[in-house]
Amino acid sequence: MTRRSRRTLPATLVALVLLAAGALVATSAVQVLLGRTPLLAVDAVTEALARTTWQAPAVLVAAGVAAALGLVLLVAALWPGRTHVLPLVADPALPEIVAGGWHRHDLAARLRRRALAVEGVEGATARVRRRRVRVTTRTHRAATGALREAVATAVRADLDTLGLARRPRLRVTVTSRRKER
Amino acid sequence: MARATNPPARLNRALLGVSGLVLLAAAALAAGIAIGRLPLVAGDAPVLGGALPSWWPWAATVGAVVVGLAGLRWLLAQTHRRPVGDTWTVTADGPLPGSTSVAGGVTEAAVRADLTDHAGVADARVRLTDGAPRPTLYVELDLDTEADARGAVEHLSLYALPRLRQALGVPAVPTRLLLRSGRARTPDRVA
Repeated sequence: MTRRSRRTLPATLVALVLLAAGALVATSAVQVLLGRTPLLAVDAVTEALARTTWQAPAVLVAAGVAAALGLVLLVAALWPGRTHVLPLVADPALPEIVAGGWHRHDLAARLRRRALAVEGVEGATARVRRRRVRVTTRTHRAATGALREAVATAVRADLDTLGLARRPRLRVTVTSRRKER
Repeated sequence: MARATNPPARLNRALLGVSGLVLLAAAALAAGIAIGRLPLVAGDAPVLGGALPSWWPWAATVGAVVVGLAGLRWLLAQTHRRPVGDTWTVTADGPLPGSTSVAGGVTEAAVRADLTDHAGVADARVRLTDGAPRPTLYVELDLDTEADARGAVEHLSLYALPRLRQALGVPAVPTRLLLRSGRARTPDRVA
């Protein structure tokens, strides 16, 4: 099971704009019907539109802005987006699992814990992409070579048990907090 | 159409695409008139010729309420992030007509209880995404960070699913599985 971005952010923004615009226009229109001063200055808007001809530069500017925004939305819709779930390999022994996957962030949290469990590691972060796992650890030790091997072994051992369809490449970085003298 | 497997991704992509196309079409229309390529309106005519008709507040109210409610609906759709569950219904094939329905939540709670029996499974969310006669299942397993993933998947496949098959009386329940690690635990140090 591969699962890609849901595009929640652009969708939420556009939905909020639609909601706000609808509320504003409806409120103003009802205020006009009731004979009150509308929230949106309808008279000013109609006057401005009556004064502007189609040839005015403002029309072209507005068209350009709308086109750019439309292009952004179209790209947001068509772009495949980042993988959020890394697929599991199909196991012939378990035929009912038709699709499976690990959530990227949860996998990163798990691998981070594996790295933290190694003696000498003071802090760790893990980032999981579709093809690459990057574990960054911090230590007080001056020599980092052996520690990097130990972290790589621990993380790799766990990656091997997860049953991922495509095992991502592992990259381990160890930074020492001890100042070099 | 098949049920959404990653809601609301499909909805978002469709509506974002439509919004983008509407904006692009409006921009092309305005620009075409402005540079004289689309002789629908004379270029030196005002954008808004004459006064608004007397019924405009009514039309604007209706249109704006529809647009605003659609926006609200779209906004609320962002909160539904798992496939929707289905009811299990079988019609009797005996001499008396009738049918038996099991609400989705009942099946789901039973499978969840089976799954959390396993030591490595902290929690599970289960949806019966299709009803009779060909049920499908969606499972999110929260594994302990130290748990053996393979063991948990086997527990699902070799213990929970056979029990569900037996309960529903079906030969197979195709399952889509998402592995997560829920609650974090303090790691034990190892050398």
